[in-house]
This record gives sequence, C-alpha cells and structure tokens, in this order.
Amino acid sequence: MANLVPFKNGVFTTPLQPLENIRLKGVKCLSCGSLALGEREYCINCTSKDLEPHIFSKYGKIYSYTIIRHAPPPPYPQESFKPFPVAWVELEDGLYIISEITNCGLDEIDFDLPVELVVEKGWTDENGNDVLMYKFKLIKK
Amino acid sequence: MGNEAVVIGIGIHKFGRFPEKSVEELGKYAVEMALADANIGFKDVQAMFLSNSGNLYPGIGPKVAFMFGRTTIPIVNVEAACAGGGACLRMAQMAIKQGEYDIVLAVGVEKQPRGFLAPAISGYEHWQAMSGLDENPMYWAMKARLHMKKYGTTIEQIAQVSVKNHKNGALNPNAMYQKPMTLEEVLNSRVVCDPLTLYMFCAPNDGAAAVVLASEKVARRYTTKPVFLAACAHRISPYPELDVGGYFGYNTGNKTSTTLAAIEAYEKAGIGPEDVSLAELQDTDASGEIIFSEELLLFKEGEGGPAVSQGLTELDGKLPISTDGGIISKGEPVGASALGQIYEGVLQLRGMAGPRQVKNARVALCHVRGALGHACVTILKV
Repeated sequence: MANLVPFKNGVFTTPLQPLENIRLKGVKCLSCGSLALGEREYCINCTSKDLEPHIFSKYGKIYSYTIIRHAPPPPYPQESFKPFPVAWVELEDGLYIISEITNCGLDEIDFDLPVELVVEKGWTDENGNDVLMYKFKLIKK
Repeated sequence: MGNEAVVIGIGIHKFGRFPEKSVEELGKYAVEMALADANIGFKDVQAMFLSNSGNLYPGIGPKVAFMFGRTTIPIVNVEAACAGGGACLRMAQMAIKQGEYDIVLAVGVEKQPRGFLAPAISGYEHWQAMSGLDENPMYWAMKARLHMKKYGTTIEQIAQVSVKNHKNGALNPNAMYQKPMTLEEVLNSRVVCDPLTLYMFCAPNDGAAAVVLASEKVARRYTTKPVFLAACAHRISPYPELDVGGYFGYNTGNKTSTTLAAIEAYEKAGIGPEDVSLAELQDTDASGEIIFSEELLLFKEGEGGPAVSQGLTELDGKLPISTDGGIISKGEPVGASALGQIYEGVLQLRGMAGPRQVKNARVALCHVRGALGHACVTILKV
C-alpha cells in the first residue's frame, strides 16, 4: 500500500489514519486574536510570537463561490477535467479557507450553505505516495 | 526647486502577440521611443531598472540595455507580480529623489503564452496547482459575487466596464483588441468562472513600455511639457488576502493593499481622490475595475457599479477610467502593464491623447495590483 502524505506539512492533525479523524490545524494569536492555518512561529497578522495551537472546526458555510468551467493550467491533469464548484468556506471558528465543494451540483451551490470537512486522496506524488487533500462537502438534510 | 522626479520621455511597444520578436527586442523598441521622446541617447541614462515576471533571468535588464551598445551603468531587475512596472518606476523615482542621478530609465518587458498564467507567476504552491485551486479568475469571480451580494452590483454593470474599455481600446493603436463590443456580446461570451464571462477578462500577452525620469534640475532641458511624478506608492497585502495565491484568511478588518497604497500616494502628492482627472485601474477582470475604483477611494463603497452605469467613468464622464482601453483591451504583459498605464497618463496630461483625450486633464492616477497583493498607485501631475 502506498504511503499517505499530507498536501502540505503542518496543516493536518496526526495520525493520518483513519482519514475521518483528521482535522485542519493552525494557530490562534493571543495578542491580536487572529486565526491562521498551519504551524507558524509568528502571527501572520501582527507578527507576535504569542501563539497557541488551534484545531479548527470541521463545519462551516459557503462565504462566496464560483464554478471552475475551464481546466486549470498544467500540472493540473487536463484530460480528466470536469467543471467543479469552489468556495471560500467560513469555518465555525471564523477561518476562511479555499476549497473544492463536493456532493454538490453545479446549480446547487449558494451563499451560506452548510459544509463539512472531508480528507481524501487527491493525487499521487513523484515518489508514488498518496497525497491527502482536504475538501468540503455540502451537508444535505 | 525640489527634487521631484519628472517624466521626460515615454515609449511603448504595442501590446499583443509577437512570436517573431524576443522579449529583449520588445524592450529595445519601447526604450528607443522613450529616449527619442526625451531627446536623449542611451549614453545619457545614468541608471536603469527593468520589470519582468515570466521571462526573468539574471541578465535580462543588461541584455535590453546592450541593444544600444555596452554600458557600465547600474541595472537592476524588478519583480512584483502584476505591479512590477509600478515597483520599477518607484525604484527609478527613488534614485532621482535621493539626488544621486539626474536621468533614470524604467522599463517593463514581457512575453507570455496564451491562456491562464503559469501557476508560478502568481506564487501558487504545487498543491494548489494539483488541486485546481490556482486559476486566477476563480478568486476574482468570488470577489465579484461578494460585491454583488453586499452592494447590489449587477452583472450588467460589470459587463459595461468591458464594453467601455473595448470602446476606448478601439481608439488606441497600441491595444491588442481594437474592436468595440456590445453588452450582449460580453454577457453571452463563454462563462469562465461564474458569474464572469470570457470578455470580462484581460489576456496575458507580449509588450513593453519605458519611462525616462529626470530630476527637476535638468528636466526643462529635455521637455517643454514636464509631467511630475507626484507619488508612487507600493504596498503588498496585509492579512487576510482572499485573492489570487491566498488560501486562508480571517476577518482582521485591515485595509487592502490598494487602499493603503492609495492613501500613501494621495498624501505624498498632496491631493485627494476628488482631484483626480482620470484613472488607469487594474482591470484584470471587469469587476476588478469597479472594486478597485472604491478601494482607491475614487467612489464610495458600493457606488463603483452605479458610477459605471451612469457613464461617470466614460471618456466624457466625471472620472474617466481606463482611457486607453485598460488591459481588457490592451492585454496584460505583466511586467510592462504598469508602465503602459504611465504612458497613457502622460499622453493625457500632455494633451496628446488624440481621440481619447480627456478635457482639462491635470492629474492622472495609475493603479496596478497583482498576486500577493502587490499594489502600486502612481500619481502624475501637470
């Protein structure tokens, strides 16, 4: 079985299995209150080093959205491209994060719809590892 | 007599697609024109800054200069995404203001393939490219949607920006597209990223522009129509940046890099937004021109859309915007686009913009904005 690696270091909680237990992590600045994704030494907003680790809620809503109707430039795989929805998701904690929206028809996406984090295999890297990527899926009643 | 920088020469190589010409040749053309405009030769230039993004290699600045024969002057390459030309002009301005040089050249050159910009130019990481989150228009589409939701800006107002810019571009021999376009044609063109359609976007292309700056001390020797570089401010984005290249954020209440640069520029120039006669804005997409017209404080928040539908930004309006057709008509050679705006601003202030001439043009504001929030606001005055 291929090794699992995150799409970027310092953004997922560990262990990487089971996938459904993975959360997005980052920091909260104790000086200005800003939240930021990923491990960091200085606050991205005010440069303070007074940070505490933060694990983000897996739930959020659509803040703004669009549909990608034209294949993104290479190295994105051109042949398998199908239009897909993308959104700025606003997590319950207040963090905005860009994401593909799954479980969602192209005409279905709208402001404020509830979404939930999912982590799954995105692509294979040059060493044959399975790269884990985050997405958000539309929560349907 | 102060030590303000004065524009004494401008040159441009038409923006478009020129497979037969190298990027250095495009630069030579623009420089030659700017030198001729200033009535000087390359030997009179004391320092040079060159802006480029996609073709950048360590020797590109000197290679353009060597087209005029070997030189020993300091030449430095500048890269600041879509604001590169502005950053380059600012370097040249500082070299003059600092007092060491009397004649400095700022050059922008670019050659780009058709289609979306390569991910690296906008600073995307590999994972963003692999997951398809690196398509610049998606970020502008989401900004446009938020603006529409918050202020009631309509898709027709956004399309009207494109109609206006194509109308102006039809009057500009240096534009890539010189054909007027109807509102229906813009609205009915292929959707790239909802709600934005193909004809609402600029296209990356080839081009070059050059500006010769002189100190006030010597400027009158070279020009009878001095245009003063009253301010050139350059800022990058504070947190958050919910735009090209950014992938997370938090509501900090910070002003945008465009607003920060604008405030700095107005202060340095000693003017307010109400004094601006015409503006060249970053119309990478048509909604951007509306949003930036507000971020630059030229219109109040939410009034950028109505300003377009009321004709205020047309050539004969209260505040003409993108009088040369903007990059929607000219195309965007990233490293050169800002200096292309300066070319138009100077033409307008000299009263030499022909069929595009804005009446009583006294102050021109030029704004570029790119990845990482690189924003430059330049104010030209006569």
